[in-house]
Amino acid sequence: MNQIEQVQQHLQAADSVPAVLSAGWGAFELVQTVAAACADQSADMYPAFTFARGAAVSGRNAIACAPSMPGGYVVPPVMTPPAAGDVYEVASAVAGLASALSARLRESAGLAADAGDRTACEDAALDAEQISALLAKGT
Amino acid sequence: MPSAVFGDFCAAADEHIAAAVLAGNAQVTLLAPAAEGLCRLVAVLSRYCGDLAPCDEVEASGRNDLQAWERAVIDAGTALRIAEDRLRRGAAETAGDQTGTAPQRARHLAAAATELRAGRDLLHTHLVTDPAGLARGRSEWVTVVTSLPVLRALGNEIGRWSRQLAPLAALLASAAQHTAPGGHGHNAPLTARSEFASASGWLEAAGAAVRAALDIDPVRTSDTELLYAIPAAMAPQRQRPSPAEGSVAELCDGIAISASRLRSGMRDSGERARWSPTVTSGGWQWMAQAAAVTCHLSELALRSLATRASDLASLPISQTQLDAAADSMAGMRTAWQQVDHLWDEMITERKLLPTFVMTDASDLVLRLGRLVWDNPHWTPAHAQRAPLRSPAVMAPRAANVTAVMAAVHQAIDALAVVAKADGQAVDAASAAGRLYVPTRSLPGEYDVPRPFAPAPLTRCQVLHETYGLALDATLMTARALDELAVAAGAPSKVLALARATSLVQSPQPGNQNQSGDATPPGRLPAGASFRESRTSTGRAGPVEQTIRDYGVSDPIVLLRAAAIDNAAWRLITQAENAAEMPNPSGTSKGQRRIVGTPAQLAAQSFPHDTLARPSDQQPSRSARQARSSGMHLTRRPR
Repeated sequence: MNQIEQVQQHLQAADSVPAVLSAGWGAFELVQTVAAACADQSADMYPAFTFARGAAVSGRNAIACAPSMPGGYVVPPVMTPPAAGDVYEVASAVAGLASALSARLRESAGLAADAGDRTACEDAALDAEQISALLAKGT
Repeated sequence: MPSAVFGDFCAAADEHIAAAVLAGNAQVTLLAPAAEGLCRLVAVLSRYCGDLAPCDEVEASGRNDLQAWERAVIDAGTALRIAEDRLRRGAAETAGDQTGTAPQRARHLAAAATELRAGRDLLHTHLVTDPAGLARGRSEWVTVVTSLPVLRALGNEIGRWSRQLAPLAALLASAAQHTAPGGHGHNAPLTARSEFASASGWLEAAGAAVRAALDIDPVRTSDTELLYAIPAAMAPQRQRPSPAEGSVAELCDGIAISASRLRSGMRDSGERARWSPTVTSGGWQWMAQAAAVTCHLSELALRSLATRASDLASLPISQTQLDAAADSMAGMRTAWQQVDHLWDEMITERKLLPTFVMTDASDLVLRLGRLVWDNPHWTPAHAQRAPLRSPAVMAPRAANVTAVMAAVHQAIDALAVVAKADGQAVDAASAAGRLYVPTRSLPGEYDVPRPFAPAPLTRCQVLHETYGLALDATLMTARALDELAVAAGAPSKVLALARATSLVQSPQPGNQNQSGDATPPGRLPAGASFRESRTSTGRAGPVEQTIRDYGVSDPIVLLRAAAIDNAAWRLITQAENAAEMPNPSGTSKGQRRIVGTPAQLAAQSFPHDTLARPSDQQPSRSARQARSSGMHLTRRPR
């Protein structure tokens, strides 16, 4: 959960299109890792985590195509599998992260000067919204 | 509404032919319409024989390698063509006899011809003629349409109809004779009588040709079932999943439709993969995920049925069998997960675009989910999670167990088509240079000034083999369900018959048995092991192989043989586990390896060390599998 919070903070602190792209990359990587670790923890959440993982891969690939995507090595996240009972909380936390990620990417799409960046941000925002829709607890 | 099958047309034609034959003599009031109707019907039968015959009668006269049924349809076809010619001549001779409305008999004959023409069209939907004029299959049913069991069944039907129609031609001859001077047939010259009489004789000859084959190689019930179950090679209309589709029966019907559409949608995907922008890595990955989720939901359904099986008496399938099929489903899910994970590191030039097959796979997942979970609004989303549907509610009676098992069977059979088609499509995309990997994921020696680079051959091969493993695992599960469907007499047993039929080799002279060895029939092949079975390795076990060596092609017999091999393998495995033979490491041979929780395994599949360096040498399968789960996309300085 700390990692999710850290990535969310990183995302909120991003102050330019390249910074949002970089933070977005890290966020999608984390979602992918968390979803893979959680999928088998609970039978009823397996479909949600499986499709969320796919959306995370798709979002990350969209960002990779952005012209303003900065280089630089980012250490991939390491995920400790949560206890079975915590899976639902983890899902909700990831949904929150994805919602924030979507908002920042939409915002960046509006600010980006390059058409390639705009498309990448919009595509990735759609994937983030899908992750949020899959993992949010709902009312 | 279920899609049409060949049996529908056969049944309708049967009724019309029976009605035409049963109509009394007095109804042959107008010769010409009845003769024309009969001529059209015989012409259709003759076309069927032409479709079934491996060669024409001239070539056949010089061949001694034809099977009884091949010879029968050639001979019957010859007889029917002559009968058709005689009827046409007779009809032409009575052409002036056209007054009044066509009698009921003529209308029945025309209707039967129409039904059988439609049935023939249905069979032809499975074949397409390429630009070179060669016929090739365009559906997974083509192996059934061209199989020996269907040849036997259809040949038998043609013989039966020919025998039914022969007296009718004789009746026309008689009517022509009786009505020649005056009366309704007064214009019919005497030649018409001899033409109809001759046609009757040739129809009898067609029936006799088929009867000869029946004596040598009788038609099995399963042959006819298979023939009648052949569907058109076109998808049924989509039925959007709806919360109103609440009953288990409705969901099972919907699953069969979605599965059928999915199978149909996968056709020619290999060809499209070379060029179509709608075929993308995202689409392949999504399908792998949908397949894994389908396995997961199917496993839950089977576990539920297994629980229920212990409470229901007179169920033809046992709790153990259902649990074994569910276990097989778990292995299949792992195989599809491996495919899914490989797509993390590989892309096509286009982002995911939704396709029709994704819609059908999505419908399948939704319906299976609504079958398993007690929520008619279920979707994969967290917000829609629900408790499992109670086994007693899912399957209150034995018939419901069979229906749910058949629905799962349909779903898994469709995934077998997906595994094969997507594997071939990915190979085509690879050959067309459409697969890329992130440059960051390549070792430093790759100097590519772009974010993505063409996928190295070794990575493409890993993908190819992983799809192969998914196909093997899916087929293994499908075969386990085949056995259950046949044992339970489920409506999906036709899938089992079709799969068994596609495995049957025509016993042409010079054909080796499948293993290629020369063991005499009736004796187990040297070194035969009960570790070999359809469930354990996907290959024919010793009993099935022995049966095949006898030239037996009956799908039911082959399925029974496979079931015996599978049961033997399970028994031996259980015995091994019970024996607990010690080994040098101190653990018992039968003891299960402790591998940690599934999530720990999932975490292990994301190592974060450096990628393996590319090599021109072909790594071993195990090395490639290990590496496949270790590939990870990392960001590096550009």
